[in-house]
Amino acid sequence: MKQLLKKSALLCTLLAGSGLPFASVSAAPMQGPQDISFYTPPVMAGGMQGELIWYRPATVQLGDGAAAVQAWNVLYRSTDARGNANLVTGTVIVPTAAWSGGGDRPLIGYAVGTHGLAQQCAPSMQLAAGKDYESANIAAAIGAGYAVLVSDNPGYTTGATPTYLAGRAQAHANLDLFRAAAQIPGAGINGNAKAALWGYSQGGQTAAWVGEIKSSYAPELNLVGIAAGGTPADFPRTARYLEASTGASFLLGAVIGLGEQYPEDIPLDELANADGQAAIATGKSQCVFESLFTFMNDSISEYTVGNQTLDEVIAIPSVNQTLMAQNLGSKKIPVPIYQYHGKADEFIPIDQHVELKRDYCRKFSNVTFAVYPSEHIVTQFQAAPHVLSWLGDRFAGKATYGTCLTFKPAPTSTANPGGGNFVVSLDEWPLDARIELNTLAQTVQLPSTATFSADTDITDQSLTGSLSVPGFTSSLKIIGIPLDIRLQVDAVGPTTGTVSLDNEGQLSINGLSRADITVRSAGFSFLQIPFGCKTSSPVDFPINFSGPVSSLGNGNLTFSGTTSFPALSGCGLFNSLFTTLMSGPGQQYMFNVSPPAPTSW
Amino acid sequence: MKTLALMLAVIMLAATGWYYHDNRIKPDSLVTDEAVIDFDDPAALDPQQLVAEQSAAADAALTLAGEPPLAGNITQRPEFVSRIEWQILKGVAAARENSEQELLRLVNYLRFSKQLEWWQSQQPDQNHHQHIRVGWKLLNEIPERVEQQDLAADQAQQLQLALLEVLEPDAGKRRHHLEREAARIGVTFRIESSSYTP
Repeated sequence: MKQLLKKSALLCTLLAGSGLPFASVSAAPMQGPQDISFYTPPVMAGGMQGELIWYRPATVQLGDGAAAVQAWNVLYRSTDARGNANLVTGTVIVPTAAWSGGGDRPLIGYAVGTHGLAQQCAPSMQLAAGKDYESANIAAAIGAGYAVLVSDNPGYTTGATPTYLAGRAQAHANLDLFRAAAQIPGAGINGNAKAALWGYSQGGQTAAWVGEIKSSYAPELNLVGIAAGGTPADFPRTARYLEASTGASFLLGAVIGLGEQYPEDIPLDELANADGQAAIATGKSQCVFESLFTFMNDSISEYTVGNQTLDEVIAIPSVNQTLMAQNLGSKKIPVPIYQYHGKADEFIPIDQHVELKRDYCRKFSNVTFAVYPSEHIVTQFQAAPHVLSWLGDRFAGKATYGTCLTFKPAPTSTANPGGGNFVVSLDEWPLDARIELNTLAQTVQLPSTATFSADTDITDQSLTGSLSVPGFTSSLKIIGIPLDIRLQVDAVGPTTGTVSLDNEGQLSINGLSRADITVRSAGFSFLQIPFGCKTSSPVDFPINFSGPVSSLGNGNLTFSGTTSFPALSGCGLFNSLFTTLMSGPGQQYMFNVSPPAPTSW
Repeated sequence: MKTLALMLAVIMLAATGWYYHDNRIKPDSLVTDEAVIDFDDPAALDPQQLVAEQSAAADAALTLAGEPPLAGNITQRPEFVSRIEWQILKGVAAARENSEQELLRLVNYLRFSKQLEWWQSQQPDQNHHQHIRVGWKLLNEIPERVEQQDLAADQAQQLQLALLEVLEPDAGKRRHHLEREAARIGVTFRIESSSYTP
C-alpha cells in the first residue's frame, strides 16, 4: 500500500509539474442525480485520487446576510486511512461576486467539526437544509471572497459509516476535494490557486493532518496556510478527558469511527457489551447535538464486555496502536500554521494542543498559537474573523514569524470540571449596551468597560448571570442646553432565565435582567448638582434570544427589545422633571455580549 | 329690555361656565415675564432663586389639581412649570417633528408628576381633603397618561391600585372600582370573589 501511495504521489508531482489539473486524465465528470441517490455511488473501475465522479448544482443556506453563492455537491475519489480507495461526498461553494483580489480566487478547504454519524448529518445535507451549525464560519469565508470546499469526510455515502476521527482518511478526503473541485464545469475554480485549510475540533485534527501529509499526498496543491483549532492531537489524553464527561459522545463516536476504519484493531463486536451495541446503534443514528445530550457523562465501562475501564481498553495493544497512530506532531508543517484553542475547552484539553505546538516548533514549523478565553463551542465561532484575517495575510503573501519564540507561560485550562452538567460560562464578557431614551430621543451608550457574566447550564436549561456597569457620563443634547448627567446602572439581583440548545444547534434564551438606573449628578459645564436619584423600582430588561449556537462566539448574541422606566425618586426639586423626561414605556435597549479578545502564546 | 338683560346674563353665565370648564390654557396660569436662563453662564445662576422657582411651580401644580389636562398650543410658560423646566421642555420638544404636541404632552405629564409626587409624599391624615381630592384627580387622569405613552399599562395599574388603597377604604368596592379603572386603560381581569353588593 505504501508503494501505491508513493506511486500516486509521484504521479501527482509529475502532473502538477505539467500544469495539468491532477485528475484531468480521467473521464469527464457527469452530472449526478438530484435526489438522495446522489449518495449512492455508481460502480466504477479504479481511478485517481481526487477524480470527480459526479456533481450537481446545489442550494446551500448559509444564514441571514450571507453573500450570494453558487454551489455544487460532488462525489469524488479519495483514499481511506489504510490506503484503500473510497468515495467521498462534499460541497463546493463559490461566491457569485467576482474575486476582486489579485490572481485567482483563493480556495479554503473548510474541514468540518463533528457532525454526527447518521447520513443526514452529512455537512452537504445540513448545508442544503440550512441547518449546518458551522454555516456562520463558512459564510464568513465566503464573505471574504474565497471559494470554500467542504468535504463531508468519508462515510456519508448510502450504507456507509463515517470513519470519524481517522485523521489520515479525513486529510485525504479534504485534499482530494481541491482536485475534484477544479473539475466542476463552470465553477471557475483553478486548481493552482492559493489554498488554505481551516478546521476546528475534528476539523482541527483534519487540518493538522493535512499539514503533516500534504507534501507526500498532494504536493501539487498550492497550500499557503493552515488554521487548526481545538485540535485533538493526543488521542489517549483526549479520550481520558472525554471519559465520563460532558463530551462523552465524542469518545463514543471516536470508538465507532475508528472501529469502522480499523475493524481488526478495534473489534467492536468483541469489545462492546449489549448496552454498548445499543449505544453504537444509537450513535450511528444521531447527529452531533442529539448525541451530545444522549451520551453526556457516560463512561466507556458501561459499554464494554466485563465493564472494562477506558484505561483497560486503551491498554489493549491493537487499540493502543490505533490510537497512537492518530496522534499528531511527528512531522513538520510545510506552511505557516495558526493553532488556536479555548482555555475553558471542556471537550478537547488545551494542554495536549500546547504540546502539539511545542512539537511543531521543535521541527521548525512556522506556528502562531492563539489562546481564546472561552470554551469549545464559543471558541469555534469567536475565532473566525481572526482566522480569516490570518489566512488573508497568507493569501496576500505576507510573512509571519509565528509565536514559537515566546516568554509567556503556557496557557492552562480554566474549563469547568468534567462530568456533571454542561455549563457554558460567560466570564466577564464585554457588554456593548445602549438604551434609547424615548422622550429625550437620545442614546445612552453604556461604558465599554461594562461586562456580563453568566453560567448557562445547558443541562438544567437555566441561566444565572450578572451585569457590571461602572458609572459613566452621558451628555444629553437638548437644544440650547448643554446638560451633562452622570449615570449609573446597577444590577438588581441576578440575571435569570432559561436556556436550551436543540438537536439542530439552535440556541434559545429567555431571561430577565433588572437594574436600577441612577442619576448621580446633573448640571451644566462645571456646575454639577449631585443627586443620587434613581428609578423608583428596578427596570426590567427581558433578555430573549433565538438563533444558531454560533452566535455565542461570533458576536451575534444580542438581546434587544422595549421596556418601561418607572418614575424617578430622590431627585429633589427636579424629581418631576426627571420623571417626565426619563420614565414611561417605549424605552428601547440593545445588549450585545461577546467573548473577550484572544491572546497569543 | 329685561329680556335683553336676561339673555346677556345667560350668555355671560354660559361663557363663564365654558371658560372654567374649558381645558385650554388660561391666561392667569401663564407667565409672561420670561427671563431666559443663560445655561452657558452657570455662574450667573442663583441657586436660591432656582430653588424658590421650583417650589413655587410645585405649589402651582397643586392648586391646579382638579383641572383637566391642558389642551391646545402652549406658547407661554404655565406657572406650574419653572423657568428652568420650561427651557428644558421646550428644548426637548423642539427636537421632535410634532414639537407643539410634544410640548403639550410634556407639560401635562410634568404637572401629573408633580401632583403625584406631592400625593405620594403625604401621609393620608395630612391635608386629608386635599390628599383625597388630588388622589381622585390623578386616578381620573391615568387613562390619558397611558394614551399619551407616559405610563405603561402595568405601571398605570399599579398606580391605580395604590391610589384606590387610599381613596376607597371598602375592600369590596375597591376591587370593583379597580376593575373599572383597569378597563379604562385597556386592562381586563375578573374578580373571582367579592363581598361587595352594589
